[in-house]
Amino acid sequence: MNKRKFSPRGKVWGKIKNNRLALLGASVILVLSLMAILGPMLTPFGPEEQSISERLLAPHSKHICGTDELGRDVFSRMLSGARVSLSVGFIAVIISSCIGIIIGAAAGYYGGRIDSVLMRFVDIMLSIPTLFLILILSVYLGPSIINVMVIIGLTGWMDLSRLIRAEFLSLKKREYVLAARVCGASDARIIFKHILPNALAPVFVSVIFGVGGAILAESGLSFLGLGVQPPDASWGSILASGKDYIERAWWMTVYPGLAIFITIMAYNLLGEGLRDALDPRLVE
Amino acid sequence: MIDTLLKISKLSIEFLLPEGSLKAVDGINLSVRKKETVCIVGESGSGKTVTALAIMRLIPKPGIISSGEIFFNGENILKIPENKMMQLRGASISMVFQEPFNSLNPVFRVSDQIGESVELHIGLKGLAKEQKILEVLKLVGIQDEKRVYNSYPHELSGGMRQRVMIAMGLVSNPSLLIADEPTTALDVTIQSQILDLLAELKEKLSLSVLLITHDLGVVNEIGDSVYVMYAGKIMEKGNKSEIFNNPKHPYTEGLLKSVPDLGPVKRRLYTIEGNIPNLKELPNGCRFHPRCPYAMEICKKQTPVETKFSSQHSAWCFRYQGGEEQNG
Repeated sequence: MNKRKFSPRGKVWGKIKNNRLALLGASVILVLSLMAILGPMLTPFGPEEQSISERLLAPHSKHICGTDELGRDVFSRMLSGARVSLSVGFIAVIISSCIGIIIGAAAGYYGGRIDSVLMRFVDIMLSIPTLFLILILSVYLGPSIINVMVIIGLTGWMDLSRLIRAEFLSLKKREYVLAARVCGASDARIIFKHILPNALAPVFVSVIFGVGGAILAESGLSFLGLGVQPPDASWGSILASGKDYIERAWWMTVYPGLAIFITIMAYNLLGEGLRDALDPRLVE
Repeated sequence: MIDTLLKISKLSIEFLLPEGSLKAVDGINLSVRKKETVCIVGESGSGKTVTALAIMRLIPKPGIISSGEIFFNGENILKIPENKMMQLRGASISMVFQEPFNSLNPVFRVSDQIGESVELHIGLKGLAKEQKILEVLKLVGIQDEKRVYNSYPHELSGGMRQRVMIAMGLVSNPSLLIADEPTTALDVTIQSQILDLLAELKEKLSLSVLLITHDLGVVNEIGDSVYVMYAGKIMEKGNKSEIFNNPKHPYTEGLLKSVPDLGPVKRRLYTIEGNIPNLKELPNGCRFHPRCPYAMEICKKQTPVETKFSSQHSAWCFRYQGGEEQNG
């Protein structure tokens, strides 16, 4: 009889452990992250190393994903692209989670006029097509990887803020919040120390889905030339340069496309598994 | 009056609803002396809890204190700024709630729950803080304080949790402990343990206790003086023996008769007919008259005033007022 089994944390882990798809997603994410971190150690070629004599070579033992129009190794470029994509994913989600949590918490906790104003702002943000907003902002701010992170972060917090608001609306009425106030705790202390830890379940799920979404958005932007700039590589920009050679060199589009597909899929599987595990209404 | 710790005078609390304002508490006077246990007794909805929250200045919206004064240690706490009030809460006035499971944050260990008060009001950190927490856990009668120190609320029983709540309230050495139905959610044996604990702590820490309850058994066990509240007004007040042995107000009488007695005595349990009135449709005159077995004509028209029976014992009922005074 181990005690962990009965703790909420143990229960969540138990449910994830039995969800094969979520485990698959988690291991894919782990492998991808390791590959991104180890990057240069896994390949003899630098991502920007050109070799005119070896242009557009099909995949073979030396270049396992072939080479591009400048004779660069596609696998090496994808590894360095993975760093870009994954870091954009994480940093954008950190930005959007912070905004989402603060706005949602303030709206749910204070209620009244503050709530109305903040939630109408959310409605406005949601009614602007995100891709449009991203395009306009990135043209305005100029293409750079930092801008991409900030832009994706600034446009992706609305759903989370609604979730957090809903959690706060119900949690703020709990007696332990009153008990904390009776102990002399300030509003900030109650929001961040007493209520937020109880509202974190949806945040975890939204963060996992958010990383996938942000990677997808970054690929799209880079594909359109608004993300990372050459000679730096990201999955989207490799895809973009490959589309001109799609008839002669399928490997330049198929491999980065697969990388994007597998990554997003992995995050979605893990996200769904986590959501099922954290939702107390779903009992097996 | 140097030994009066808490003095409430003419306190009224209103809830401002869209359809009009509801007076949940109507001009009550109450005082708690040092080292005294004062009980407020009444049915659900009579305004007991709101009164307690008013002392903390934590009345939930849209409620407001529409008039009256609350003096704590001679200072009108309705007039002090919010940040000073925040220092008072939990430090000089503590509160314990009815449902110990809901009052403990499920994500905190006991050490963090109590530690919060220690940090906020005593300013201890690290080892000194741990010492203080273990000390207060021991004080509230927890034997294996080391295990409880590291436990989450869901790992503790109801009685244990209530002890932890009391420990949370007492760690900063308050002079007034407000206990809002502290034993209602507990079973009878645990209930009497908690009451014994409160009585013991009161002596040890020279604490004043304001106990809110609907259970006259609880009052009998630890009360010094009693206030009987009905629909936002005080009906009768007095010390315990006066209230129990010589109840004057028909409502107090009814409450005492509706306590079931143990043993072989067979009688039908008395009930007070009807329900507590809706605050939206308060009856004219004495608020209790529709349920009162002795109701007279005058009760429907006028509000009774205080009749004193001793220095402490008073009731608000026309039965003890000369009819002629009222007609004039």
